[in-house]
Amino acid sequence: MNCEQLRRLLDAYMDGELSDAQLREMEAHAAACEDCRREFEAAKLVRDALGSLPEEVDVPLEAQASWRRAVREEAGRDAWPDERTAAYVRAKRNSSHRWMRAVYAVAAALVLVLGATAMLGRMPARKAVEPLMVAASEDAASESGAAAASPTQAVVARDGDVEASTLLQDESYAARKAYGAEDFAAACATVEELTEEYGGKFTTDQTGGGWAVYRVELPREYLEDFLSAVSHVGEEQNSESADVAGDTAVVYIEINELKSE
Amino acid sequence: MEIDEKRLIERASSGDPEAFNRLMANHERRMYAVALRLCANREDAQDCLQEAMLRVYRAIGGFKGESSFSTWLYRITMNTCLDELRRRKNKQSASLDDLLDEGWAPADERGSPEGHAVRAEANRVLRQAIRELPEDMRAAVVLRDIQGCAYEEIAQALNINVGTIKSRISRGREKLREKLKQNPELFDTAGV
Repeated sequence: MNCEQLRRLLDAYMDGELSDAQLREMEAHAAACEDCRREFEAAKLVRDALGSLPEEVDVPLEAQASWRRAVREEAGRDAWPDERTAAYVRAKRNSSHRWMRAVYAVAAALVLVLGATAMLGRMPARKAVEPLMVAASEDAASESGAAAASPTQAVVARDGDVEASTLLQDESYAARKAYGAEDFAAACATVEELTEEYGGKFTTDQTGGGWAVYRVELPREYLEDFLSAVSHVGEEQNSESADVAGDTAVVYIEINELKSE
Repeated sequence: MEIDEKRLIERASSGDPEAFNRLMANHERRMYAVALRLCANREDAQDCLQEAMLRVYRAIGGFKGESSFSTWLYRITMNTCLDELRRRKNKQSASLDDLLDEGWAPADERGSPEGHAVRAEANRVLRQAIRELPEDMRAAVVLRDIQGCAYEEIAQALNINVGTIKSRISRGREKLREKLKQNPELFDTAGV
């Protein structure tokens, strides 16, 4: 092998497409030629260094929340969450008979009108707060009122005088998880957003700083996906699961603030 | 999983944002990895991720499955990042100190401690060298040598024929090797 032949094979080397015999020839030439040895070593460094980088990188929680919010806004901020109902109806409609489509269209319009009317009547504070607020359960939203500045505070305003244990009733739950998170507020916001995303609803207790527990009720078919998505909020500290029957699953998620070093 | 994804794509196409968010939860980490490696800093990468998500949301109704969904996502992510880079071209540029570590830590550490040190240094030099590549070349090298995409997939994602992609990647790698060779300390302990 000569210098030119070695250089021509460098791309194939980086692509991992060389035969053993070709590789041996390259190494033999490199051992005898200083320039080619350097070139070959450099190719090996590029391959090893770039190849050791991960194909996926964890998205910071605030960035996760940010693009989701942007998509919801794009979907029609004012319509959400009733937009979801409309979208669901639309999806159903696509697979229905033509005469049913008209019925669904009217139903969707009614849902939107009634939903919007109900929201306007019952929750004047909603528009004044962060979009995340919408993710809070209706009770929490309506009772916390205009004083709420963030979903977390809204929940505290409602549950601040409630002992943590009242939420942890004696009931059958599908899973109970505890996570430690450095960015406590972002972890809580993520749990709340994911709950909405997977068609669930939550109640929460946050009686002290840096600790929260969520009781999440969601359709069983989404349970696994939900738990997998939630697992990114922090490092798992505890995990229990049980086989419980029913269309709806109850999950407890506990978030503990980790003090950063 | 495949069937689930197909169903979610259908629902997302009909305008269901929650289905869309669930669908993209499986892809956001890869899109973010690409954005981090193309952009000059973390904020830009996050902006690009968000913009790419919006573009995907707007365009998903037109996804016909001619390429794989992930290739289609690479394409949108790449276009978003390249648009952003071109827009910011005149506002150059981040100093090395501003460059992010995020996304540039090796996923696994094998071999000797000396090997780690050399690779970490090579990594630092390469990170800077990749940023100095022309944008189109950078995009192709990132997809091939970091994301591990096949040449055909890169050709689809960047909408350029395979031959051009191959020569672009080859020239990009050559530039990276040149940068490494300017750092002789990298070669004192690294054996072939």
